[in-house]
Amino acid sequence: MLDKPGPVFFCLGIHGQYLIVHPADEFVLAKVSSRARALEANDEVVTLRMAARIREFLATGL
Amino acid sequence: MHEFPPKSADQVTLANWRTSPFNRWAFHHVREVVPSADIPNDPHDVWRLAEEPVDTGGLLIENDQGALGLDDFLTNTATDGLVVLHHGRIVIERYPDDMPSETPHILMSVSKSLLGLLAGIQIERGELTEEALVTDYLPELSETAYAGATVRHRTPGSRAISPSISRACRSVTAASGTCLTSPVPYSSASASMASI
Repeated sequence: MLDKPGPVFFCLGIHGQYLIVHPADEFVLAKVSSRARALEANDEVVTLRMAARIREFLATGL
Repeated sequence: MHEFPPKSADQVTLANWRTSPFNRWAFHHVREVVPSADIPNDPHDVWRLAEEPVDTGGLLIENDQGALGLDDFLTNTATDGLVVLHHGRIVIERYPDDMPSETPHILMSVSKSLLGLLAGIQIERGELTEEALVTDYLPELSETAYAGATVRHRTPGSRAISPSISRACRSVTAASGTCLTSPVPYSSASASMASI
């Protein structure tokens, strides 16, 4: 996600709510959750990594 | 909850609605727990997105426990719903715990960022005026602390914005992008928009 050119919109809500938009790639990911933890940096890193992985999978099929 | 009424220890209340496991149910039944107002959509103006599901069988996601398939990853991260669009089509849509797809789910601070983005688009189009009073658009707020505040006051970079709201919206290396936040008056008016 972060290695791609162009702006990325990363909207974050506690307990695992996310909206991630990468306009250049026409990629939108919305995730709603009922996570026990409200806010922890590693959860956000894991989610960004997931978004990057899904975007890569959609682009390459791998 | 499988009986009615549920045992008192199992009931979701304002005291426990954000606590696991009660939040699993509460986060998509917010209006039954938190005093809020409904903002219904226009059933005659629903924008249906094209669907083109992809086979995610080969999709593995690295996580602290190693590589997981998509569905295991979603369960591991307490996901209630996931939707992915690519080139305007829904390519992935999952509801691991059987939350109905049409049920509103709380967005927490995503609401502020999302409404800020929409407000930015409307300002760009000239459909919303930054200098206008919030009460020009929402006269029902005239008896509240929002009286006298402008639309601009409700967006970042202004004295009226709180640091926590600014932090909630992070625009990553947005050279030309903007990421406005926080029409708080709106967020106080909707079930799916409770603030943190």
